[in-house]
Amino acid sequence: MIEVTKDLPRSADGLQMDWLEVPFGPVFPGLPGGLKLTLTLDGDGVTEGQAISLVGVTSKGDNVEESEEMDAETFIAYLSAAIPLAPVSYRLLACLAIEQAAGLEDDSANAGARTGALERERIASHLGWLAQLGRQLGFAWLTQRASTLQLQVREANRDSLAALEPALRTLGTRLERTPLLKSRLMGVGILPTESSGLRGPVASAANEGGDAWARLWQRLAEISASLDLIKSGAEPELPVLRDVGDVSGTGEATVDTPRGEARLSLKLERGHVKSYELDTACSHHIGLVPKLVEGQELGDALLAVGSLDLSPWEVTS
Amino acid sequence: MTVAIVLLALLGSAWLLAVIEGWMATGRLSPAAPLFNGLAHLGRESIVPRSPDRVFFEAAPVLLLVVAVLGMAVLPLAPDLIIADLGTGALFINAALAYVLVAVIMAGWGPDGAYAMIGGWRFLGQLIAYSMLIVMPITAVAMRAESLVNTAIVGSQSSLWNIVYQPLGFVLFFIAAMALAFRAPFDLPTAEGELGGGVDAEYTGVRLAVLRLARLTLVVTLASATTVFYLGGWHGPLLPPWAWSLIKTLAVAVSMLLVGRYLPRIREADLMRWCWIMGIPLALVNIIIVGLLILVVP
Repeated sequence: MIEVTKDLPRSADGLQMDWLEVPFGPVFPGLPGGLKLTLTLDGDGVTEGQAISLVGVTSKGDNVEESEEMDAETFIAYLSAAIPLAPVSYRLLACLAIEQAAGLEDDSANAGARTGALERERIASHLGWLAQLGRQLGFAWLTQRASTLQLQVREANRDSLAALEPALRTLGTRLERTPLLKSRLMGVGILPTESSGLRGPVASAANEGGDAWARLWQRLAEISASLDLIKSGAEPELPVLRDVGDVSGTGEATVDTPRGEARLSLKLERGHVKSYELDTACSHHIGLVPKLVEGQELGDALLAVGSLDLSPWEVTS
Repeated sequence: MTVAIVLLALLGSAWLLAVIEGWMATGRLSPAAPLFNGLAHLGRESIVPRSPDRVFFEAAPVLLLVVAVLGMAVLPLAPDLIIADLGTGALFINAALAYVLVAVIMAGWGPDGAYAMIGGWRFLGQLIAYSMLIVMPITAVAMRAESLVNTAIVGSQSSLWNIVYQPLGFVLFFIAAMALAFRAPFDLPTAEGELGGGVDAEYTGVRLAVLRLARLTLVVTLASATTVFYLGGWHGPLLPPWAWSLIKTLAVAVSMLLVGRYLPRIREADLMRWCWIMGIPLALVNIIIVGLLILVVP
C-alpha cells in the first residue's frame, strides 16, 4: 500500500490519493456553453481550478486596417451579435459611445425607451441565470418556470410585462419557501467586499454576505427594481443609432449590463470605427474562479462558478 | 403464471412512470414516448469507452435491473399474487437492495471516466447515510406483524395501516427509499448539472436503455415495498386486491418523482449529517414507540 501511494499528492485530510484533472465544458449541462472549467479533483473535492472562455470577444481593435474598418452601424451589429447573452446592453453601449464620439448630446426622448429595453433584458438575463441555477441544482421546477418566464419576457411590451409582474415577483417568495435551497447556497462561493474587480450583482451581493445565496437575492431584487423602472418609463425599444454622419472623434460610454458595468471607448474616423477598447464585468469575474473553487466540494465549486453568472462571450481577450 | 403477472405489472408500472416523468418534464402526455425512446436507444450506436473494465461496464445495468426484479419477487400484489412468499421476506428486500450499491459502483468504475467514477463513489457515501433508515423502519414494521413474512406484514395492517400506526417510520423509510433509488433530490450519483449524468454518462444505446429501465423498475419496487410496509398492501374497498396494490404503488412512485421536482439536490455532507444526527435517533424513537404500542395496545 505504501508503495502504491508513496509518490501521490497529499489531500487536505492527510490521505495520499490520485488527483484527477477533469474538464467541465465547453459544453456542460451545469455551465454556460463556451466556458471551459478545468478542475483538479481529489475525490469529490477540488484542489485547484481555472476557467477560460473559448468564445470571448476581442477587447481591443487598435488602428484597424482600412479594409477592416466598420461603419458605425456595422460595429453596433457586430458588438451586439458577438455577445448573444446581452445583445441589447452592448448595442446600447455601442450607440452611446458612437453618439458621444459624434458629439451628440444625451437624447432624452429616446432615453426612456432605451432604459426600458435594457431593464427588460436584465430581467430576461436573470431569469436565464435562475434556469441555469435550477439545472445545476437538479431543481426541475425552477428550470422550467424561469425558462418559461424568460421566453415571455424577452420580447414583451409594457402591458405584457405588467401581466407577468405577479409571476415574477412571487418567484422570490416561492424560492424563499423552498426547503433545502438556503442551506444549499449559503456559504458557497463567498466573495468578500474587498475582492477586486467585482461589478454588478456580484459586487452588490458582496455587501450582503457575498455568497451564492446573497447573489440569488441580489438578482431577484434587481428583477423587482427593473419592473418598477419599466412601469414608470417608456415602452421598451431596441436602441437605434441617431444620425451621426461622417464625423470623427473619440467617445466613451458605460452601461450597467445584467452582469455588471461594461465600458467602451472608441475612435471614429469619418463615421468609421478606427479603434475601440472594451472592458466587461465577466473579464474580471472569470479571474475569481481559482480562489472560489479551491478547497470546495465539487458541487459547491460548480455552484460558486455558476453564481457568478459568467457569460463566456463577455470575457474579453 | 404468477411470475408472468408480476413481471407484467412491474413493466407496466415502469412504463406508466416513464409517461408521467415525460409529462412532468415536457408538459405533454405521450403514452407512446417511452416505447419510441426505448426503440431509439436500441437503434443508436452503443459506444464503449476507450479502456473500460468490460465486465463491470456490461454487468452493471443488468445487475441493477436484476436487483429491482428480485426485490419485487418477495412483495405481494395480492394474498396469492407473490412470486416467493419467503419466511424472511422483509430481510430479503434489504439483502437484494444492498446490491444496488454494487451495481452503481460497477457502473461508476466500469467506463474508466471521471464523471462516472465520482458518481459511483458518491453513492457509496449515500449508502452510509440511508442504509440504517431502510433497515430500522422495517424492523418496527416487522415488530408489529411479529413476522418477517411480507404477506403477514400486510395482514397486520388490515385494521390500521402502518402509515397511521407508525408515521415517523413511514417518513424515514420514504426518504431513505428515494435516496436508495437515487432520485432527486438525492441524485448525487447522476447529478446532471454537476457530473453530466455521472454513472449514466458513459452509457449509450441498448446499455443506456437497460439502465433507464432498471432505474424506473427500482423506483417501482421501492414504491411497492412502501405500499406493503406502510400503506396496507392490497387492502382497500370495492376494487380487487391487486388493483389496490398497483394504485398505491403508482401513487407512491409518482410522489417520489414530484418531491424531487420541487427540491434542489442535497449536499452529500448534509445528507449524511442529517441522516446520522436526526434520522437514526428518530428511527430509534420510532422503534421504541412501536414497541410501547405493542405492549400497551392489544
